Amino acid sequence: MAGWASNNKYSLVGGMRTVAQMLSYEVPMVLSILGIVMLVGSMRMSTIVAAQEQVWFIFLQPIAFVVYVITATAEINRAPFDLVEGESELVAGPFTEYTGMRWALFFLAEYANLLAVSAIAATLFLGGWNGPWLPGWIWFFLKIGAMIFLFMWFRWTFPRLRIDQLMSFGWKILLPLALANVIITGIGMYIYEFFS
Amino acid sequence: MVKTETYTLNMGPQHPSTHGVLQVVLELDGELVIQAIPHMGYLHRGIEKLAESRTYTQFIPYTDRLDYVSSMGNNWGYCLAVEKLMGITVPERAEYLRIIMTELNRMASHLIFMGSLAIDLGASTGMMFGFRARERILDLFDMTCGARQTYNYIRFGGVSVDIPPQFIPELKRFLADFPAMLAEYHELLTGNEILYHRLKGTGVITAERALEIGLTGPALRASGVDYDIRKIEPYGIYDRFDFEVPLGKVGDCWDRYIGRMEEMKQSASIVAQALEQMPEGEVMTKIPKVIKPPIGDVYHSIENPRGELGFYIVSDGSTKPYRIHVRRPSFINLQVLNETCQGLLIGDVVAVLATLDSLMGEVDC
Repeated sequence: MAGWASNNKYSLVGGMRTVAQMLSYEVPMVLSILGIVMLVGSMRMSTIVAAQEQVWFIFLQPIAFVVYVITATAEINRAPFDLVEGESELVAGPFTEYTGMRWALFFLAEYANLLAVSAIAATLFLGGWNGPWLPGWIWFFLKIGAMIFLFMWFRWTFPRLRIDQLMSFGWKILLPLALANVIITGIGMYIYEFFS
Repeated sequence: MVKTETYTLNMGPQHPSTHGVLQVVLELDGELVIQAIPHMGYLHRGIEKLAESRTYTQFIPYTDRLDYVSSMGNNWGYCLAVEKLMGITVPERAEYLRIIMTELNRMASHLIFMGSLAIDLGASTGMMFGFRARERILDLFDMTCGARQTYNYIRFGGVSVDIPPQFIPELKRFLADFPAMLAEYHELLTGNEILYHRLKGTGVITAERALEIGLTGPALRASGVDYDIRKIEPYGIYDRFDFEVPLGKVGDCWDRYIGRMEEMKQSASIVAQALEQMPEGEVMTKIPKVIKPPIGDVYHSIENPRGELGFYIVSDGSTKPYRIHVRRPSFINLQVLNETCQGLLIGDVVAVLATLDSLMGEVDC
């Protein structure tokens, strides 16, 4: 929206890409989290963390974790999915015409997003505040830091995808993978309950 | 039926991935490219015209400013043309030094290509790696001729100065390190799935079309045409070295990328061979104080990193050239941009531009 408002064609293309990317990656992201919700039976963050005291969900739900990390990277527009602002194609996408504090607000939001998805990943997959010796909040921040490191590592290593590849990857690979994960989780839970 | 309109997008002249001041006017249908017309001239300095009011020797530094990431080759091409016109022969040691410098410069240029391709596709580390290795080469040039980019090193009758004593050990160290560096780049970029899918099959130039348009250099060889002036019409002492010319099959961006990576390996091997064979001796032959070529014209071309660089010189017997025309490979290679980009997406235009590796200093002579 902000890109469109600045009446720049780079911004317009960037804005269109944002919408397409958000739409196609939101779905597998939610589906990847669904597996965990099924395991815990609750959507409360604290209940989910409490359920991970014995084993982290990254070990129970590895596929969901991979799907989550990939979709989260796309969701927060970081490389290799930073097509929205891909500087070698669209200069800066929706932010092309913005300067000063207005521009800074966009980027503060972007980094806040990065922090948020990392915190969610730490909560859902890495056991939240659970950990030996250290107090819980230190563990939590360490896990967030590790996730941010992972995202930044991606950003410096990988080339950018092309828009059609991004779309087909989202719809043809990630979405079926996330759906399959939901089904496998369901079957696994059924078997587990059947035997215990 | 919804009626859709195409729109134009000016990519450049100030744009991060046009490698200088190229303006590409894109006609787009959404993300699809319908036309990609390069507009040039933003860096035009009139070098060919300037030559007419400079003496032959004074023009050498101007050639540095053509293809400014491989200036050694430009110096050499111009000097060879004038030497051919005047019948000057060059001492053995100078011949070897010229080869060593030009091949090192080719490696430096291809490293820039690799780095800029990586950054254009969004892989920032690739650029750091490319420039890091290039830095080692520039240090070598720096200790030889005092300049890091515009060398003015190769002169009529030889080279300006002999190499300093610390040059050879440093070069040997670099050549020893280089295979490991190249392996690292292959690991980072060539082995990357995303890069492969971005480049493979994009921007295909068929061999027939490449020949029609006059493409030269790695861009032509990627289409499978075996045309390397170092092999076909060896200038200097290239016939004494054993090297291969890497050829592509399809002519897509991937072939152009791999071809250049292979060429760096071959260049390193040429430098190593030259270092082994290099004799002691003079680096400059006796040439007249005033360069006054006989009346006549001459054309000489060399294989620069970007393709066939040719100098056509018309002499009227005075100290200044009557006319100089430069066949600039970047300029001619860029002509293929429009038809190659048609039907691709915006992101591919960047990839095609990067793999054609046109340099604006040379496009706008």
